[in-house]
Amino acid sequence: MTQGPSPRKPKTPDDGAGSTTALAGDARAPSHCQHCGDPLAGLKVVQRQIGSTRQSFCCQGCAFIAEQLYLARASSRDLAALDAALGGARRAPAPAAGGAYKHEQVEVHGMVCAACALLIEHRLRRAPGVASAHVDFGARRAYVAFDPALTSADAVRRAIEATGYRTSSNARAERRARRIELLRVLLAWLAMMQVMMLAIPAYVAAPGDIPPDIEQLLRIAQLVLTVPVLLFSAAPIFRAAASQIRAGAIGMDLPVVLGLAAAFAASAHATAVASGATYFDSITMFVALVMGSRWLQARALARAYAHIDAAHRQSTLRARRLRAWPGSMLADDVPAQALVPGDHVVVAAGETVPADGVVARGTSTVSQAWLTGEAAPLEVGDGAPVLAGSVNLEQPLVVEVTRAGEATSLAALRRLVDDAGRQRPRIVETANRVAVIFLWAVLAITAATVAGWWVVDPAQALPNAIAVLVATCPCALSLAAPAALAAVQSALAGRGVLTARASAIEQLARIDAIATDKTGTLTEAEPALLRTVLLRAGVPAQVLAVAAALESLSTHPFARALTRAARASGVALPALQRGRVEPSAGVEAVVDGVRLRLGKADYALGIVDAEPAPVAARLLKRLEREKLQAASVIVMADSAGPIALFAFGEALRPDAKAFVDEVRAAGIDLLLVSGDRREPVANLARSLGIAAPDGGNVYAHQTPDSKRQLVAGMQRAGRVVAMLGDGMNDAPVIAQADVSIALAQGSTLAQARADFIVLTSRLADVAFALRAARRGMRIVRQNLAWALVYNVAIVPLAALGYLTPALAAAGMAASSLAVVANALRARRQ
Amino acid sequence: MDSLYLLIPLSLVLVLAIGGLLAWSVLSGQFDDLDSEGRRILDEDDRPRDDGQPPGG
Repeated sequence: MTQGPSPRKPKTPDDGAGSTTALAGDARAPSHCQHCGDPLAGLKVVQRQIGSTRQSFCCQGCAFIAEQLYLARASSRDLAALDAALGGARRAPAPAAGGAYKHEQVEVHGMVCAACALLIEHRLRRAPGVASAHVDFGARRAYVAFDPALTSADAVRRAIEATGYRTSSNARAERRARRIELLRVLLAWLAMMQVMMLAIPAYVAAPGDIPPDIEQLLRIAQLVLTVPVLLFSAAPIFRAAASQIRAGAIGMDLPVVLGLAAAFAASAHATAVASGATYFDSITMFVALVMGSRWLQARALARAYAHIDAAHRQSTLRARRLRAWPGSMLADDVPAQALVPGDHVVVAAGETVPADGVVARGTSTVSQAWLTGEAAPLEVGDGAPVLAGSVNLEQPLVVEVTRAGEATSLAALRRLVDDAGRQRPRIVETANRVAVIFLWAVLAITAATVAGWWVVDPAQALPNAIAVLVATCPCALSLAAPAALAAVQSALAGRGVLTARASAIEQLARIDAIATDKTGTLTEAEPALLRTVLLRAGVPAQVLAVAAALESLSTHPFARALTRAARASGVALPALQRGRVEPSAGVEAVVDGVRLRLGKADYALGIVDAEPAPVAARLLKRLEREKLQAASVIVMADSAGPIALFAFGEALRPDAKAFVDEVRAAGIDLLLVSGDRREPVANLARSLGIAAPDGGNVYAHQTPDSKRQLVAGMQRAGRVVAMLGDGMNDAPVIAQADVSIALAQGSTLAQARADFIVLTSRLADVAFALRAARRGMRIVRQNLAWALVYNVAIVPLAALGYLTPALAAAGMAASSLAVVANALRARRQ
Repeated sequence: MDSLYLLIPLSLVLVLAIGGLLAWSVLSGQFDDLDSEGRRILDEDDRPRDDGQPPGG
């Protein structure tokens, strides 16, 4: 993106004076970004004072560029001034001098448009030690050359994050981080086993059985093994606690660290003075359990998403691009990332489709297992859409690329998974609310213990205070919520339900109303042929075959529905001659020597030899008698008059009724909100049994904004509302609803925005998500209750000095194990 | 009991050595993929294994 301030920049600095706003009327409630013109619906709008007006932008990048444009124009109308203001953003990256610079590739998330890329470049170039920076918006990557003596790759990443975007390191750094996580777990377990062995004599021997010097040797050995566990294996826990202190947000890690530190300090002191109890075994066991369960969760999630990952990696491999389609079949071997829309690629049987596109030649079956997790093959022919990552199963295909690289549905899905993974830590919010109270309670009880024992027996004050801190170390509490929610997330992923926002699981479990869209949600996305009315004697299957043959010229949804119906009835299509398509009217062709028209009534009747008006009137009467809507009917006619009527409509999804019943049985209100006319909406509601006796719960003629107001009104009444739709058309209501679920429709996946995305597009899986979320939250509550009861029960014992190290360790381990085992239940269905 | 003065430090040294070995094996990627190694022996194809590096990376 070095060729200009913004490739999509719609304005030059010369248009309009003093303001970058092109549409002054839009200033009050703009629906589009005032720099790049992208729609703002569903985005977090950035507002910025530009000159005398307050303007809205899609992202920080656009706001920044607009500001710079305004400033540049205020001083000079020269583009060079703008260039200077942007810190030479148009300059090509400077070559590294003498190879002394290090080059780093950073993946950047959260960029909305090319202006964001420019903003990041600008900030990076001002960072100390950065020689050159180039941000590729399309590839979502920043290429940075920096002087390793002055800065580091981490600092570069932090600089990008300070700008408001998220980064992830390159694959190598990620792989190393994964290995280190595993190493933390393995070393903790190794050390735990050794410390256990060294600790056992103290548990089993009668007092005085072990000579004091051997006892001291055992203590020192345990200390030596515990130090690396705390410093290396438990480092993430300490880091989390430190960042919680810095951020001023107390979380569960802080009391845990307090307990660990107290236990270690007491044990180290006992070792130094060669007398007293040690807790080294409790410390190592806890760290091993926590790190082990965290690692298992991460692995379970990674496995659930593995098929997406695998397809992604395959598709980043190679593509065979045709050099001169359709003239020749000569192909170049290129990386799939190098493809651009309009390219033609050949995909041999067994190969992976490298980009989203449409079939230009060939028929075959493809497997979209990466998307749905199902291997059921899909038949494709000329004009059929295919998605990147699908595997071609039978015959070679020529595919015309429509979306390549980062624009494919597959890449969009991959980013979703990445973002979801990054958000995971937030799900401990539930436990963290308890943590603050918990921390103060523990500190208060510890203080009371010290004070109490100071009066009774000062020598016992410190040991008992430490016993309280160790016993109340909320290990189980800190595992309670994350373990259960991660288990839910992985169960959902196994059913093809992607969790884009992990904290939404809690909200999904709490909903008491679902607002659902009609078309494409409760009904199939495409219309279906509902009825065929013959107006003359004939064989219905034959008439259908002729109609399907005519419609093979058209790509209208009705045409596809006719073709599907003909294919389902298994009749052979007759040959066409002299076919002609009249846009948005119909098609005309000669079949078996007869000139036929198929399309809208007035177009089709145009072929009739007789006076058209009476024929049309008769047809209209017939339509009325058959109770058909003119808009959803097409007519086939020849010179003698109309032959047949084909009526189309929305077909209910096969699992719609079961879904509605299950949702209502779960005590959730189902609302049908649709932009469609009243009659079809009411019909559908009746057939599903949604309509309340008073006609409530069914809303027709809704605009996106009236849907949003409807949901907002329910929320004011204390309802928790979920929105179920296709994730694209209802951005305002998706943003308004407490939680949103989208049924992904293959090719539109890249645009879908929702908390949960149902990749299989099955309503049964929506119901499953609902059940899983409720079950998961029940387990979280059980876990929290159990952990709290345990910690509350153990406190008096510790405070009164009854708790031996053995009991503390056993209790700590048992409560943690119980919580993790309970959480794993959430994965079963 | 005197032998413990030798045996316990010795066991510590051994644990540290095992820990070092573990660190080396994990960091060199031997635990990256635990699933396909078992299946590899069933493959008829005897081509050398792909090292999993992205092309050019």
